Amino acid sequence: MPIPDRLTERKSFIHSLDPRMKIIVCVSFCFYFSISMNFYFLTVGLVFAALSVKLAKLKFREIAGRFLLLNFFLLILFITVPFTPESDVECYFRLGSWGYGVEGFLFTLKILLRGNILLLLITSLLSTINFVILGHALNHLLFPRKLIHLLLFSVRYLNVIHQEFARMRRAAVMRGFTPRMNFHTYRTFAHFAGTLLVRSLKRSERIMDAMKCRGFNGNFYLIYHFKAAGKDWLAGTAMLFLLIILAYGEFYV
Amino acid sequence: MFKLENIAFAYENGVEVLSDFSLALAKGEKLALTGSNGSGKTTILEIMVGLLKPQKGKVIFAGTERTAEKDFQEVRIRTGYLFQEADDQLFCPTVQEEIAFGLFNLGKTREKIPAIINAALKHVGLEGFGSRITYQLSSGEKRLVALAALLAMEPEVLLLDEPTAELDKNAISRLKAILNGLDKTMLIVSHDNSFTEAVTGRKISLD
Repeated sequence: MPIPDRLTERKSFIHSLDPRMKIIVCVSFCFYFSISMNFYFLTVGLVFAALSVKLAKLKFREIAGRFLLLNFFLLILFITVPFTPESDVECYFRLGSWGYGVEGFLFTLKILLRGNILLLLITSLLSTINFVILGHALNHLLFPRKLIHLLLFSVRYLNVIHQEFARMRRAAVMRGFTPRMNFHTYRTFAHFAGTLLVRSLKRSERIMDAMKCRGFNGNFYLIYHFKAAGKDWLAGTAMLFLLIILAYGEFYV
Repeated sequence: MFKLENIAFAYENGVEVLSDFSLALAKGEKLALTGSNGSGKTTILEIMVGLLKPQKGKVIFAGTERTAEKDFQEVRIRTGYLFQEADDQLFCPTVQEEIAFGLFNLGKTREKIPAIINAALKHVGLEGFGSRITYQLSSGEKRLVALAALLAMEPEVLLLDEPTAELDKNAISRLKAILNGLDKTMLIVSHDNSFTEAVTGRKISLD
């Protein structure tokens, strides 16, 4: 199954919150931390993001994959970004005519903090919402309906298309196909892609027919309704209050 | 209930599937339609609900001839069409949304819908399946969910395209029991002789 839903089903404080509140808090915090330039506030943010992962009862092992991927990429930035050919800036050390600049290093350090804050926040607040519920919550937040249905249909048919690809691949393998670096392999994969495209198109036509047969008239309806409880308002207000303090402290003090 | 008169149909690539085909489906009748592969069985069903337009001939539903897309919208709501492949029919993420889709289109209110969903699932023997994710169901369950979604709309006619394909013995006997318990007009396309004999009265062959 290509759709990861292993983070969405467990009992924790974060999981029990109203998904609409989680989306609002996540988006506003991500926006703030991605423009924040203050080291103290970024450190507070990292602690706060780590705390929310803890509250969502996610284990490090489960998110290690995305964590390592991001930090490996950031490591490359640490190797490249701080180097400067200019001679009059403050440097930690020099390699020939190139210096490893202090300013560049601190700048990259901020990127590192930001990247990890965003990753942890999105993992704890958004990845803990099931795709279907996410779609419905976005609808309640007045997100464009067409995009939501695109999301939900993609989730639904990604799996079908994946199965179709797996079936074709098995059929090819059963007739002695092994992928190699040759023209025959490229052509075979091109055939897979082409067949998949044609079949998906045909399937989408049949789905449209199925919808028409059940009286589809262009309107989509969503069945779920959410109710925000007291703790949702409390948590949401507290988070937004914290955000205002941080933003005020950074931009006005 | 349904009448096809002198229908001729050829696909865009020039393959002619039907020439001068006629069919009458009386109210309350249960009819089986058989024929070899490519003989136009599915084409006939698609013409009946207006998904395909025949080059010649008339489609008559409930005594009125239907030609324009608008005429067929009423036909489709009063007819439940079960597709050959359940994956084509189930496009909503969860089972209850799948069943609710048609009900919303019929203009049912949100308050009434949960009870109808539960009744439809009970009818096909899938109680408690409401919040299940559709793509994680087995082929038999998918077929029954698709049927429940049709039955919830209370159609007068059922058109079933190969309903027993991909089903095991248990699922087939369950389907038989459900269909035999329904007092509706039916047209069943199937190769499964024992199934059609158990469910339908009359049989016509396209060969």
